[in-house]
Amino acid sequence: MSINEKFNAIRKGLLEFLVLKIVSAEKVYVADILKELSGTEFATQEGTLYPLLSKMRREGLVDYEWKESEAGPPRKYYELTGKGKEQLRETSDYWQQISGTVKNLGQKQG
Amino acid sequence: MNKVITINLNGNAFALEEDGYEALRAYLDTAARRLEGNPDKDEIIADIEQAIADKFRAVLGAYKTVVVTKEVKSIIAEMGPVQDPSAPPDEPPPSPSSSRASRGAHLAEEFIRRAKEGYYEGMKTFGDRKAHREWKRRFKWEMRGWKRSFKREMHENAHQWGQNWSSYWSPPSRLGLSAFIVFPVIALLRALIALLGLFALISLVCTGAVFGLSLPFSAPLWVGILFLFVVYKIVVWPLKAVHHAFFFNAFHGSRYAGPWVGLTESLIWIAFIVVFFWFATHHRAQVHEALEHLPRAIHHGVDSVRQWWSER
Repeated sequence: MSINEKFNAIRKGLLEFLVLKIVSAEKVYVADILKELSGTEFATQEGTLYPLLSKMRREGLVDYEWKESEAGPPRKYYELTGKGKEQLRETSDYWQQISGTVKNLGQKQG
Repeated sequence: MNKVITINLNGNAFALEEDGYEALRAYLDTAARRLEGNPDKDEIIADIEQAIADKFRAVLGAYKTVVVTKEVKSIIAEMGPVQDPSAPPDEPPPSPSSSRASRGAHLAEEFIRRAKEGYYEGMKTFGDRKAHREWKRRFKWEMRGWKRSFKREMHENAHQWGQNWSSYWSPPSRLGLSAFIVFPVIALLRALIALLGLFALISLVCTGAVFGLSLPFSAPLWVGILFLFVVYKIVVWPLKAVHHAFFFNAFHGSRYAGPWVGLTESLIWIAFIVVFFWFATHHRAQVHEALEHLPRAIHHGVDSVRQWWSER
């Protein structure tokens, strides 16, 4: 099993956190999120992203508004809700904690 | 030359090559199936259809009005499989037969959904006669296409059910030797016990005793009959258990064994009873006499039960 395959579940679990991070910066629509993730290890597709965004909206983490588009029909622009911001803060703290744990484990003390 | 089908994707009309249309239909059907139970299923499907529509629009131009199969497949690959994040992880994939069985139901649901969606879409053009006429033409065309797909799916399902039926009910290709020995022996033993039970019953009804043993505490006849029945069931039960054990072992679980086992057992029963009676009537005078008196004895027994019943 390759390292990429081993971390499949972790990447999948982290996707929501990353979407929260992307949406926190500005109002975005799905293509923006896909573009932002495309160059990373977390590159994903619409088939995954739409259901995830829908779940996050159901949980009150994000909300959307329709905006007219020059290129075609109106688009859904997502933004973070208060609950989403709170979740992002908690997840960021937790991520710092586990990154620290991973970094420090196995290192010899002084 | 390829056949072209016009579709309505979240309110956007597109002309697709037939194979491309089939690929897209399969993709959306799978998406709908995976999102079954998701409260936002309709919204997600609409978002996905809209995203596909945007991609279709990008490959079309003033002189290119049909999305070819290759483009449809490439767009489907770009979209990626629809994954419901609220679905439990490591869910086993549905078995081919169950997925096929549910496919028909999903297709029917999808057919109704599309019909409703197309109908509402058409109602928007109600004021504009020309647009409404165009909608009617397109709507009929699409519905015909969906009807054809639905019929084809139903036909495939019927074929699959036929195969399942024949594989389930066909006799097994090979029976173990033990089955050929055990089944007749068990059938013979059960026939013998049944015959003994019958004689015991006749004896009880005619004489009030079973092979000379009277009922204790002057118990009524019906208690004796009930007791005999219970004893018969207890005696026969282990044989039944052995029979079932061999049956399931020989025929691989719940698989039906075909009519031959039942027929063989019935023939053994009949043969045994015929031989028994022939032997008994020709070699034992008492049995011969008992059989001659049997009709009268049965009448007598029935009368005594009737009398006991009226005296209650």
